[in-house]
Amino acid sequence: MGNVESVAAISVDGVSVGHGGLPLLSGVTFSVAAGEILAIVGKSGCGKSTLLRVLVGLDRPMAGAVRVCGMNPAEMLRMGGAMAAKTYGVLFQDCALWTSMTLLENVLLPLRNYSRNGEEEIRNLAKFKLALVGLEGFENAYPHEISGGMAKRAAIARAMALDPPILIFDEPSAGLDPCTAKQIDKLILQIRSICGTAIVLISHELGSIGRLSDRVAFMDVETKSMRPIAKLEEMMVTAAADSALRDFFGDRPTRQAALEGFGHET
Amino acid sequence: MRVVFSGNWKTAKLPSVRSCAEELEFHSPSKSIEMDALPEAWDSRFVAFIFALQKLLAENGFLAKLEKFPTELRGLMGLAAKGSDAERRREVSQPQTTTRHAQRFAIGERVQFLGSMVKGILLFCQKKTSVRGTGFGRLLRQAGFESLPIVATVSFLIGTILGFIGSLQLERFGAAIFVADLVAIATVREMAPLMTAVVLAGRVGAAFSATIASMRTRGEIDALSTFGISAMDFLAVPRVVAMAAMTPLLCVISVLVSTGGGMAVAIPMLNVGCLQYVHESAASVKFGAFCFGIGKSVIFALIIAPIACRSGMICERTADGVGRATTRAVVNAITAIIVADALCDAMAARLRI
Ligand SMILES: Nc1ncnc2c1ncn2[C@@H]1O[C@H](COP(=O)(O)OP(=O)(O)OP(=O)(O)O)[C@@H](O)[C@H]1O
Ligand SMILES: [Mg+2]
Repeated sequence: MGNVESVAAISVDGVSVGHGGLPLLSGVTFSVAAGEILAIVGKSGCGKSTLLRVLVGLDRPMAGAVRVCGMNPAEMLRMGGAMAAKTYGVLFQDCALWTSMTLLENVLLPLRNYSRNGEEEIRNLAKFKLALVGLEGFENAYPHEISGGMAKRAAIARAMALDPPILIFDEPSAGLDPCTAKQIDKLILQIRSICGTAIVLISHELGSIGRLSDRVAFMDVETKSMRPIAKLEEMMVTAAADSALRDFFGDRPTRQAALEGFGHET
Repeated sequence: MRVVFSGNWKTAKLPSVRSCAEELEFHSPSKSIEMDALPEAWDSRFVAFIFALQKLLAENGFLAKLEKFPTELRGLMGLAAKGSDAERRREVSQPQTTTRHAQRFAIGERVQFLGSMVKGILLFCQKKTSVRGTGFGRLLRQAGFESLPIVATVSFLIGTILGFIGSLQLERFGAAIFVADLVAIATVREMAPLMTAVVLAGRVGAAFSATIASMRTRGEIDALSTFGISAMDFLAVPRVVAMAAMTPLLCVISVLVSTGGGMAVAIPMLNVGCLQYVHESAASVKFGAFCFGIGKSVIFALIIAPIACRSGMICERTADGVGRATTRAVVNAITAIIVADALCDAMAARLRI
């Protein structure tokens, strides 16, 4: 990549998130540099998706500060959000495709609003993005006419529509068969290496975390806090001494097998 | 103390957990109860029963020991007991409703809503709005063309009703031809704007509210905001403008159809000529009255659409919430229309329109 960014793509400092005044996670601190992939893992219900809403500015943190490209995301949305749209793309866990529009229109809408190029060009761009996630030929399908995994992929295409410098994905490969999941993993790696995109990846798939992530942030339900960020291999090693990590990553042989299976391909 | 569960627990009627626990607590000499299961047959009902029993006993300080239970059964119980989420769930879900309540009734929030809506409408009408792809044409069709049959039907029937009542009364005074005046003035000033608005509130207002509410429930509005597309500018403003544009047109059509309805009754009943009726109708309606009627219909549209959109935008994120939002939209809109109508009439009386 070469150029060292002076501001981190995302920096999260001492953030608490929760619902109804009670924190689910507190003291979450990390930063993601341009071109880096950070995986956020943790048990189901530990607050990952809640944290995502804070990262993208839909909710305000209960404490602490979030900066995306040096700006407060909640403020970015409040000020109109054009800045936010060009800064990050989001894949929600439940996809949140616009159900009264076709897949093509879903990808087109952000382009229509922010791209200065002609209609034909943005249509081609939108079709290309859909083809990237393997949805060529489904441009005119409505979200209720496609499967869960296809919806996930369409939502990934929509998140990438504006080629933002930051992508935030909530479980991109959930509900996909291993083969398609691998294709999505490859796509994520390619986006990163072509555009130098910073990617936050919430995931449960150890395999894809191993293939994709540079570092891993583990959220612990019991202590409602984040373990120190580390590479997956390091985290696997610490897992021997940490019961929460051990529960999550499995016992020693499983971890070993998983580690060997990754075969980093960058 | 030792308790043995035997017999067929698949078909048996289960005793109440509470009474069972009370009995055990009453008879048990110590705080520890050993349980032994030798059931001929059991299914998850039995496991659920034991699970609830153990929990209830634990709440009162008794320990139910299940070592002698079949391993599969203990396995299931173990899985159920592991669900530590229950504790957090209880913590989490309490203080929510009050904030939501407070939010819904805050006056400041309403003023803000109106402010950004007015701003959005002004920008939209000057074509300076930043959002594109709102499907405005479809909204125009939904608010206008698709509402035409029902508006026409209702208007025609209202016209016949007015014509019928008018004919019965005026015929007695030998003033049959004035039925035309009665029907024309009543529809232009009152019935056309009011009935159009009521029909649109039920048809279009409900649809607006349900659409926006279900988008909110599915997180589609959140997705819009992350793309910097505000729900106000993208969803609410085009709907309000579409309705404000189409309602006066529908109102004019309603006037014409109502007159036709009145005529359809009056001509056979009273022996007046068709041309004579039309002429009389046209002569009776002053330009001011016509403008008053049309103006009212625009005002009504500007009441219905924002109420419907706001109701959708603040809905609770459940299927019931969508239903309630729709009901609220229609009820509030119709009430507000009637109040506004009364105010407009009072003002018109003052100004002698
Ligand atoms: N709108 C809400 N109101 C109240 N509590 C909520 C709400 N949404 C989620 N929660 C609670 O917050 C907790 C965390 O939810 P969240 O969706 O962030 O989990 P998660 O880590 O994304 O889990 P998963 O891996 O299953 O997606 C859950 O225990 C849930 O009960
Ligand atoms: Mg989640």
